[in-house]
Amino acid sequence: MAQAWRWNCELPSWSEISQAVSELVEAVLGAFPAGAGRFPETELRKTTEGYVLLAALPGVTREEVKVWVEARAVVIEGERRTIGGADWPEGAELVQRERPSGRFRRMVSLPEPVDPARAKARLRAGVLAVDLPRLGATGPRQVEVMVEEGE
Amino acid sequence: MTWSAEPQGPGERFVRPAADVYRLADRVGIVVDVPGVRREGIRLTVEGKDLLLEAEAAELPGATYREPLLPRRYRRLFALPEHADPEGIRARLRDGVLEVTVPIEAPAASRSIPVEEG
Repeated sequence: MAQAWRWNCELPSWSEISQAVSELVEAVLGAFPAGAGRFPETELRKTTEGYVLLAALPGVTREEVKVWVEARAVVIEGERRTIGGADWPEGAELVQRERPSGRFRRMVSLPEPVDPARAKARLRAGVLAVDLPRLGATGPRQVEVMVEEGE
Repeated sequence: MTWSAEPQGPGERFVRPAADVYRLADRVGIVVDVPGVRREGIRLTVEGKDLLLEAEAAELPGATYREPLLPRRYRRLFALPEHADPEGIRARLRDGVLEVTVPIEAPAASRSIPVEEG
């Protein structure tokens, strides 16, 4: 007794998939005009103690940026308001807009582990510099060795 | 911001900075992103009907790991608006953002000319 049956499952059409993808891309990148590139631009530099991560954040104040440091990654997030911000003159007519505006979040991976407890960040002239001392740069750290007992 | 395609010589690499421009009845404002630049690193020059901005970011610590982000040299030419008063141009730098304001002179009001008889 052969009973033919088939999945009653409608696969989305290609146009539906591509529509969903472009909506997702817009949701993620929509805050920034096309061509603005990734904001903020970052650069990782080597120092004698470890690394320094530079991020170009012109116009961003200390209160508007948060920095998270993990052993192998740094996350920079915050908000930059250009047009309509506190410094924007009232009643001004916008003639040209190029500067990226809105919420931003950027994660940078590190080539070797750093010590989050000793990381320091400073903001000067619109450049954020995060000092990232290498883990164990101050000398060997004693690690407790756990012994698993066999049965 | 875009790097020029090829280095134009030793240290002759410029970045065209992103700029917003606004207009009010009495002035035009040009707001430019110049991260890393201090006051002494900026030069503004009026050349005829244009305003030339040249800026250089200060040196930062650490050996460059890849393509250097900073220091950077910025260069951009802005066309001055009609009836601009070059003498009244003011600039203010804060947190790596330069704001240049260009006053606009009110165009000469129409004037009726009395006609004499005789």
